[in-house]
Amino acid sequence: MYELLEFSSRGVLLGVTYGLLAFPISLLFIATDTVDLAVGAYAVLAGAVAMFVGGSVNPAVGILTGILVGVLASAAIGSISLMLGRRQKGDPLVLVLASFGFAIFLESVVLTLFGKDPFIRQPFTYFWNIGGIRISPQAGVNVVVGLLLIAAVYVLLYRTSWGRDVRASANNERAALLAGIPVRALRFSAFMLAGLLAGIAGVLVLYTSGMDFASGMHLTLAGFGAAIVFGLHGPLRGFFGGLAIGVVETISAGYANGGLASLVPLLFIFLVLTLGRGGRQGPAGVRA
Amino acid sequence: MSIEVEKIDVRFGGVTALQDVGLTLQRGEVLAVIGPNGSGKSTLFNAITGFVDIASGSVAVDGKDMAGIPAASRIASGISRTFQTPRINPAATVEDSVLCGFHPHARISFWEGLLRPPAMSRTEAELRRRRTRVLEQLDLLGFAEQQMGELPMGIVRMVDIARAMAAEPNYLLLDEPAAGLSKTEQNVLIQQVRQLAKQGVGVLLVEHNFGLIRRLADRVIVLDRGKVLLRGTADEVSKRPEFVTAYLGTSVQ
Amino acid sequence: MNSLLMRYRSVLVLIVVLTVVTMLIRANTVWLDTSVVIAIYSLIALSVGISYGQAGILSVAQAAFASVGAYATAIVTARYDLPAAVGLVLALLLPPLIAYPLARLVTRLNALSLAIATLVFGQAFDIILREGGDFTGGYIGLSGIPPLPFASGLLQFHFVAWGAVLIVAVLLSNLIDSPFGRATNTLRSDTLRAVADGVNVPHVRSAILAFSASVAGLGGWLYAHHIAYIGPDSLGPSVSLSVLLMAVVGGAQTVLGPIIGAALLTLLFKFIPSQEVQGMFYGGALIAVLVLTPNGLMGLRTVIGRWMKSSATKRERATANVATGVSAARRAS
Ligand SMILES: Nc1ncnc2c1ncn2[C@@H]1O[C@H](COP(=O)(O)OP(=O)(O)OP(=O)(O)O)[C@@H](O)[C@H]1O
Ligand SMILES: [Mg+2]
Repeated sequence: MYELLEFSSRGVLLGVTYGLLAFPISLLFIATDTVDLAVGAYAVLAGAVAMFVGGSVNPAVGILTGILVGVLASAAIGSISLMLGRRQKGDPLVLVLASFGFAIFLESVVLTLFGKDPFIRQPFTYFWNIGGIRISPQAGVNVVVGLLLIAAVYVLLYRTSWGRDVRASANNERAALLAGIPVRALRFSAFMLAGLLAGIAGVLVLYTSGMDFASGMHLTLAGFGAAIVFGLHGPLRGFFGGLAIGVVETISAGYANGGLASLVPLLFIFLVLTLGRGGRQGPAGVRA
Repeated sequence: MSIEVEKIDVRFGGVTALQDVGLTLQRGEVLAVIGPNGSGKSTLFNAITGFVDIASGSVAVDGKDMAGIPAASRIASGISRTFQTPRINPAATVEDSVLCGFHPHARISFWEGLLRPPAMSRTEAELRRRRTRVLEQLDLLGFAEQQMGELPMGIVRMVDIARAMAAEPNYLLLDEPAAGLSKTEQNVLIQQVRQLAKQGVGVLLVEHNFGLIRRLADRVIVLDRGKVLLRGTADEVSKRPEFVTAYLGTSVQ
Repeated sequence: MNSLLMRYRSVLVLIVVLTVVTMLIRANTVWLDTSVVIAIYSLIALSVGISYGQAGILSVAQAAFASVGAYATAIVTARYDLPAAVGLVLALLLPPLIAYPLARLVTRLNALSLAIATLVFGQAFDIILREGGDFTGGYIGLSGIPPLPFASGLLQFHFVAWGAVLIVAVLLSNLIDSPFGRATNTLRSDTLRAVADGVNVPHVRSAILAFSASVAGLGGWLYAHHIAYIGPDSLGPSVSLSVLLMAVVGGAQTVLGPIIGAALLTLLFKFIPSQEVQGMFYGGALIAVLVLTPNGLMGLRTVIGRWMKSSATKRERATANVATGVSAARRAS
């Protein structure tokens, strides 16, 4: 029983980072109707930079630089999306394809600059003991950062004019343009915000389970799974989706084979894709 | 042999687009649906063809309940439709576009497409002959090799109608077919619809031009805010005061 | 007769080019080896052309389908000493047996979900390979895959590999010029339009992805018997990316496009200094192509054609504007 609780608490630790990665994914989905496959790569980039700059200068500077680099990377894909938008008549798949290219690009950048070794930092050498369960203080940090970010994203999306415009232009781009909403600028800012969130998530992953240059795609998928488990349309759901996946993953890693446990987020995604809402036959719901 | 729509409701989130709507479309008759913008005419088409789900009520075609039958199968079993804004591939030629309309008759499986047995070449040749005939009927032969993106709206609409006719449906649902057509094109359209009705095709028609409805429709249904306001012949309907208020737009503030 | 020429014009061009190239390189092992690699990549890139180019299905796991074929033949030939023909049957059948249900379960939603589903499949397959123990050789992979008995020399292998490409090119040319191909084309640009034509969209999408997976599997089969080794990194995600790149560079909607892309990029890759920067090259090039020439090199033909035709009258231009305005409105609604 204790064992199960301990696995679950470790799952929460991991799940918070997945939940944080779900933010940028659902945000971009809300704002642009596409999925950015490079989100995990921003996180890896931010984590790697945070580790190396942190190691040679100081951790706080490292973290800030890492997050900044994440934002810059997402600004790059944001500009690409604007350039594509002009040519490709808004076909969402083209951006997915471009972001796949960008993910591999960043993976190779990280490999070239920082090498093959895993990136990880675990500054806490002690554990909290809560009712016999050992919990790393990092869990506390993750949960607090996660909750703060949920609150911030919620306020931004639902309590500011920026958020209202983003949601409006996602619903109907043409109507939004006619209403004078600067759709392109909004898209771009949504990408930047996604990069910021992914960067923060990357730093937390660095301080939690760590990663290596090739972790990007797995992180993207974990975040995507988190985002869709309870429905793509809201950052809160993504956060709890992340927790759910993290817990199931650590429990199965604890009781079964560690390598195979990383299949868990994938299974979640696949189940949601096949059984999820809107999974009926036919194009119902699409405006004919 | 008819389409029977009974008491259907269609909702989009909070919006009720259709409420308690019923109609019967016999084969061989022309039925017009009119109503102000947003009254649910296109939604009625979508409900019959399975493009939207109905919340309650039923749609039956030739006595067969359509519940759970996907849109594509409904089309393939003999209900064709056009869209209010024609859905075209601007790069495709007119003849290729119309050829796509034959899909329900092509009966070519994936394997035949891949291996191209002689039987398939024969079917293809036959489809091309039939395509020429349809294009001829709608006066479109002159445009056969042009790209859809290069054509004026009226022609695009006629091509769309040709594509729907190509499937040789038992029922044809036309959503504002005459919008943007010239007088001559309208006449070709009227003549074709009459011809189809005479051959036993049931035609359901959304149209704003009442003059055209008078010339064409056997009966008229007036929708207003998702409900049936009036039924009757064009003459009967046009004399009713409710029609005048609803249709001349006072209810569309 | 004329329509026959039209249908197979790409195949004919390919035969002519291959004849010339074979004459030139038949005695040079380095070039023959490059040619075989190009043929293998051509097959996997053609599989992208089939799924992405024809049906608009973005599969980011085409290399994984190839890998299924490669592992299947590696396991039966290297481990159980069965003939390579058994491997071929498995390489052709297993990938579509995965792809069809995958697509059938998921395409009910939309093109985006299917793209994600292929990514999930690719990642899951990668994990399974690495955790597969002796059966898949784990991280180390499987070596000692025997050469094809009927193509032990490089020249014969060159003929076998390009023969496979030609067969696929013929089948694809057939498909494009059939009702099934027309339906595929319609649903690529507009799913609702295809439904209104009576097209069973989930079936068509799934069948196309299955065909494409089978072609990728064929490429994997050749790969395994050519290199004699297969591991989890041999046909991994970066190969999925590079074949997408090849197809998009050449023109994914055409028969020749993916082959041209495969040839061009394989030759270019020879000059890339190290493994590590390859990803930067592939990724950067893909984005550049998407931004600059969305329809690839083969697309440049139509661009040039249109440019030459643009001396058309003002009236035509005006009507074109009306039509594009309409289609813009349609997209927005
Ligand atoms: N897919 C959809 N999602 C949400 N709302 C919809 C959808 N389709 C239609 N509606 C709404 O349902 C109502 C009826 O629309 P519909 O298009 O059927 O009207 P219409 O009578 O065809 O109007 P028009 O004359 O403009 O074509 C409108 O309020 C419309 O906004
Ligand atoms: Mg309408």
